Amino acid sequence: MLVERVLVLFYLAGCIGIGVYASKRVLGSRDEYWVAGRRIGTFVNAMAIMASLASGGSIIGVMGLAYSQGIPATLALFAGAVIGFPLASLLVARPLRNFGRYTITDFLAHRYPSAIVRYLVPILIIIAFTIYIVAQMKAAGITANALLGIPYETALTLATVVFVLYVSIGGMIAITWTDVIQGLLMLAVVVGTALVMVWRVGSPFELMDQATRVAPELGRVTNQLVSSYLGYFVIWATAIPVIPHIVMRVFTAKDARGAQLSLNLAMIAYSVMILAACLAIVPVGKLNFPGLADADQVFLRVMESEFPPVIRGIAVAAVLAAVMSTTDALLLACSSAIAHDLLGNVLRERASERTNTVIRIGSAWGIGLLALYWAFSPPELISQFYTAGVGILSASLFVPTVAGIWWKRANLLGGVLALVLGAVTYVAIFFFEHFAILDIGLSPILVALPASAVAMLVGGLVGRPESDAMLEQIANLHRSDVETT
Amino acid sequence: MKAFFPMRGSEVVALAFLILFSVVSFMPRWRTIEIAGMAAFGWFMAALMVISPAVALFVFLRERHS
Repeated sequence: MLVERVLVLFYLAGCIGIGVYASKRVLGSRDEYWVAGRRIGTFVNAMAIMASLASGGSIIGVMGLAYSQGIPATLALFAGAVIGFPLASLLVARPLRNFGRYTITDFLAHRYPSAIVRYLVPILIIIAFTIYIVAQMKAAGITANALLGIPYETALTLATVVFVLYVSIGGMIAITWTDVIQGLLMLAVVVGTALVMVWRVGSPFELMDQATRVAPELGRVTNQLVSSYLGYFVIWATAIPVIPHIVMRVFTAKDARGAQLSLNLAMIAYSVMILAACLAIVPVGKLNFPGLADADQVFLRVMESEFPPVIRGIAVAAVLAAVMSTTDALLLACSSAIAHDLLGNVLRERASERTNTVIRIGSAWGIGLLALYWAFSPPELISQFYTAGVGILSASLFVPTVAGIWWKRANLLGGVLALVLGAVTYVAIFFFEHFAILDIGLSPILVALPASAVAMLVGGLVGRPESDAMLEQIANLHRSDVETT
Repeated sequence: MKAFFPMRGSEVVALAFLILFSVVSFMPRWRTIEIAGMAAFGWFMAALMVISPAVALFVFLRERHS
C-alpha cells in the first residue's frame, strides 16, 4: 500500500498548498472569500460544480448500489440530479446571478423580507449540511481505512484537518481550484476505467449482454415501490436549483450566461461519469466478482484485478477527491450560513474586516470540528438522514425560490407559508414513517413539495400583493442584458 | 397584468419536454419490458441522462445565437 499512501499524501499536500496560496488573495475580502470575486470562468466553474455534486456516493456508492439493487433503480436515483441541472439553468441561474449577492438566503430574505426567512433558511441549511458533512466524513474514513489500511479515526482526522484548513483560509477560490483537480481526477479515473473495460469486450452493449446473461437481476427493477425511486428522483431534481453549495457556484460565475453554460456542462460531465460507472464498470464487477458481501467494494475489486499499483493509488485519490470535493463545498456553504446569513447583518455594521475574517475562519473550523466529533461515532443511518437533510431543503426552498422568481403574485405570506409548511410536512412525514407511526406509502418529498406549492398559492391569493417596486426589481433580474456585479 | 414573468418559448418547450419525458419514464409498464437484458425503465433513465444535457445545451446555444 506504500505507493497508494504516497500518492494520497501528495494529493493532500497539494490541497493544502492551494489553500495557502489562495489565502493571500481572499482573506480580508468578502467577495473573494465567498464567491471568488465573481471571476470564475465557464469550464472551471462547470468542473467545480460537477465535483461539488459528485460525492463519494457518486463513485463507490453508485457502483455498489447498481451491483446490489440493479442498474435501472440506480440510474433512477442519479437521473434526478441530472434533470435538476436544466431546471437550475432554465429556472434560477440567470435571475440569481443577476441578483449578484452571495447565498440563497440573500435572495429569499430580499424577496420575502421577514425574520422567519432570514433566520429559518440558514438554520435549515446548517442542520441539513452538518448531517451531510458527517455522512461524507464517515465515507472518507471508511474508504481510507479500507484502501490504505489507516485506522478509521486517524484517516477521518487527517482528511478533516486538510479540508477544513484549505476551506477556512482559502475560501471559494481554494475550493474551486481543488474541486477542478478533484473533478478531473474522478472523471479521468471512472471514464478511463470504463473505456478500458469496453475496449476489451468490444462494445458497452456486448458487456451488458454478457453480464445480464450471467446475472439477470443486474438489469431488472427491484421490488421497491415506484414512489421510492420517484422520491429520490424528485428530491435531487428540485434540490439542484436551490441547494446552497450549487447556488453559490452560480454567484461565482462571471455573468448569467456563464452561470447557465457552466451548469449545462457540469451536467454533461456528471451524466458521463454515472453512465460509465453503471454501464461499463459494474457489469465487469458482476461478471468477475459475483456474490460480493459488501457491494460497495465492487469498484475497488475491479481496480485491484485490472490495474497496477500506481493506477490503484490514483483511484484511491479519486475516491477521496470525490468525498472531499463535496465536503469542502458543503463546509463553505454551511459556514456562509453562519458567518454571512446569520451574523452578517449584525457584524457588517459593527465589526472590522479583520473580525469578519476571524469569524469566517472560525465558522469553518467550528462546523468542521463538530462534524469530526460526531463522525467518530456516527449514527448507523446517517446516509438516510443526509438524504432527508437534502429533502428538507428541497421541500422548503424550491417553491419559494422558483415562485419568487417567476410568479408575480408570490408575496411575503406565500413565501413564509411555503417555506415553513414544506419543511414541517417533510420532517413530520419522515419521522412518522421512520418510527412506523404512520405509513402513507409515499416518499415525504412527494407530499411536502405539493404542500409547499399549495401554501404559496393560498398565501399569494389571500395575502397583500407585492409592491410595484419589488416586481420591477424581479423583472430586471430576468433581463439578459443586465449589468452584473 | 399577466401572472408570470415571461419565459422564452424555447425554454418552456424544453421544460415541458423534460418533465413529460420523466413522467413517461416512470410509468409502471416499463419495469417489465426488457431490452438487451435491462428493463426499459433503466434505458429510459439512461436516455434521460443523455437527453436532458443535450436539450438544455441546445436551448442555451440557440438563445445565444438569436
